[in-house]
Amino acid sequence: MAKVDIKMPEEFLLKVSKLAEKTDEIIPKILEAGGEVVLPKVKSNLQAVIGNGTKYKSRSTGELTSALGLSSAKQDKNGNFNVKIGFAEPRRDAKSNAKIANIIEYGKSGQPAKPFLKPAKSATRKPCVAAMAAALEKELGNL
Amino acid sequence: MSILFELNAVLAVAGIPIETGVFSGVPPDEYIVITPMNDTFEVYADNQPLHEIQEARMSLFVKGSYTTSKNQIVKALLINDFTITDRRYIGHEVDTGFHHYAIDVSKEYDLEEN
Repeated sequence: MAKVDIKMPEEFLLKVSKLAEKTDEIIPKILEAGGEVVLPKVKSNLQAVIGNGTKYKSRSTGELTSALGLSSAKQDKNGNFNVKIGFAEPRRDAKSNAKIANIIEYGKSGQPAKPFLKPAKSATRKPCVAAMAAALEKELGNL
Repeated sequence: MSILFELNAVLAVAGIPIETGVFSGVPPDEYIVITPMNDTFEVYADNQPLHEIQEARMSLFVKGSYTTSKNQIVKALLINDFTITDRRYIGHEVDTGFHHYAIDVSKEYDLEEN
């Protein structure tokens, strides 16, 4: 029976080996690059909806917007890395930023929903993937 | 054709009052509010978008059990080729007595149709 051996270039094998060693170092950088694209869009969407079309004069303090941020990459129980865009707690008035954000996003009976998270997710999906791909390329180039 | 127009037509069959943005007047024990979200050019060629994906959120408010209405709406949406991108129970509003359920949908439309 005919047999074919294909040998990968040494340089390539070395890079793959280095990549495997540095996975835990590279993945957080890539995820954070993606998060940096999504965060400004979420923030601008949130700023656009807060105090807009309210029944009474808005009493917005800007605390919700300033609490919005991007977490560093953390590993979950399955070993996967994640970054999260969310709100720091607590507020000065002891209310929950997450609860207020949820009411803005989904509304209530008698209070219209003003989605800011979901539209940001849809609008930034492609640029986020592109930013992460570019960050990965850069990291691979540095190996 | 737009997602708002089509959602209104599809959900009218369920017989649940529907309004866009906010429910004006005194709300009945069961109603739906449609909130348009965003339109994106996801599919295009030659730098010329020919289709757009429109997204909207439906908020179902029900006093009492919401399951039957929710299932009826979901079934109608799927039959009419809507993509359901999220479905979630938001909660029970103690002050109003409404159960709040949100369904996010998207659908692709030809730009020439609009």
